[in-house]
Amino acid sequence: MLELREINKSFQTPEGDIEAVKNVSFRVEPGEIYGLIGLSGAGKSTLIRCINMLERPDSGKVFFEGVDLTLLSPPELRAKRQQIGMIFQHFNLFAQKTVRDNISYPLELQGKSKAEIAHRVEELLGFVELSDKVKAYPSELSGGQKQRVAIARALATSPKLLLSDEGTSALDPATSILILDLLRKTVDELKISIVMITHQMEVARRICDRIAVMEDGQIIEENTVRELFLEPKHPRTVALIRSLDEERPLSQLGAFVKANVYRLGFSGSEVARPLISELSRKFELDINLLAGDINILQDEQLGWLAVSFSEEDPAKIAEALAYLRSMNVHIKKIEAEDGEELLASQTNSIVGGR
Amino acid sequence: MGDYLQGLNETLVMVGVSSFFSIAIGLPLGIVLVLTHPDGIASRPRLYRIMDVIINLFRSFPFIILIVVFRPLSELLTGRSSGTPAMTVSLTLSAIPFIARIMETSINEVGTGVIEAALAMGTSIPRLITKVLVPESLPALIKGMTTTVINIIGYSAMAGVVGGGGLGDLAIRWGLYNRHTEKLVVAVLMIVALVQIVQLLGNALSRAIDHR
Repeated sequence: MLELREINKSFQTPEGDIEAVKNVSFRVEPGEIYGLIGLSGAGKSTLIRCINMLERPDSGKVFFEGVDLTLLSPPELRAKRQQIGMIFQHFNLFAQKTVRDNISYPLELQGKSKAEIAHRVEELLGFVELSDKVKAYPSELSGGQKQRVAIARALATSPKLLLSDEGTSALDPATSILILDLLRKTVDELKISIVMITHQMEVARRICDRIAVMEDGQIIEENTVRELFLEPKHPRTVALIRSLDEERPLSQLGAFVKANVYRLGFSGSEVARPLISELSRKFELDINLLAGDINILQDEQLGWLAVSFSEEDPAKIAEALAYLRSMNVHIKKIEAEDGEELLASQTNSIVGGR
Repeated sequence: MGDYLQGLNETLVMVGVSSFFSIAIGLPLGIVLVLTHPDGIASRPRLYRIMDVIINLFRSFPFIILIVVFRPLSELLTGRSSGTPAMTVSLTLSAIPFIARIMETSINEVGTGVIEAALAMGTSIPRLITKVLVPESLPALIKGMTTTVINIIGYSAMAGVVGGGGLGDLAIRWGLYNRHTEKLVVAVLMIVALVQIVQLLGNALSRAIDHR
């Protein structure tokens, strides 16, 4: 459905030419979410703009449904662009237009009738669950709501392809999850493809089918999410996966497991003790181990674990926590981060992605 | 009393007509500046550079010089080289570069991201202007127009020097030169009141239509 072949793009700057994209090729299959991940400056933004010719590649071909977009005349290109939706990090809604008029805009470009537009806007607002905001202006909406309007606008013309330029990077973690799940729903229900760029492996992992890792203008590794996580080959990929564990705020864990999360901090000799299995045996508790690490300081080892209990009885949990305290374990109950309404389907997402 | 009303009438006509024509010409010029800017959507760096220099040149001339410079043109257009109609032509021509610059600045308030989004949706440049650039920057445009009208009121007060009529004429010729101090004071107060009214109306309108 989309194929990029040997795309090159460089920019002239006073400090010399910068090769933003070097000889990049990839294919996106129908119904697939394809993630381009890399640090800032890796060339992701330029590359995604080469797809709809917001940046014209210096060389290479972009085939969209068999048509080479690099060869089209301006009117032909505009027509094709109406078949490729795009969302952005900062939403880029029209600030002086209502939600309705924002979503109507691409339909007006296509010369649709008033009745058709009204019907379609209603349908789209239902899809992104914002029917009550039809008359609101973007400034009256939260970040997550703005991005949902932007998604509705991008989907208005029923495109076959959606481009997401850091679509969740400006949102808090819980809202990001909602938007990512909406994108997944979009692909599943509307049978479109998505190319998304992100610098967050967590984002890519949650909804992508395949991931390409970019560094220095090139794709250095490309694989299915599963294979990439099982066996990352390039050091940059390993680093991106690793940073995932360090960057994920603990406050998100509670939202994922729908239970209270406790951070257990311990030092010195406790680091070497099989605390969890001891606790599990002694109190007959099922303990869900969510995250953990050991930090080696100058002359001491400090460890922490994030756990939750698969147990309804608060008395039993309190008993276990009291026991831990008596073992000099520092316990902190972690409040789940406030976000927009969390969807019900966030369980067991910690390990498996979506 | 009759003097004041006639003066006010002349000022209103002068300011109204020259505001209308200078905005009608300056706004499109401002749009052209935005589009042809080296980083613009229809980048024409050399054309932009030329317009940029001309605008700066005319803006740096004192208005009183411009009146003299534009006199032959005023005569050609109105048949007279002095009086209110001639003054209106000079005012209009002098205000155009000023307005073009203000309109350019206002339109530039529309973020590049919004423009990029519009282009990604397949917007043509004419539609970009009418459906995105102008509507999205309208509050800023109205503020800019308010500033322009106030400037023109100020300039029109100088009309007295060349016998252009209006409140300024009244203040300078009758008030100052012929020592009718009360005419000077009243005419100046009327100009001040006019500026205040325009400013208040402009601000209120701009705020009323701004949804950011």
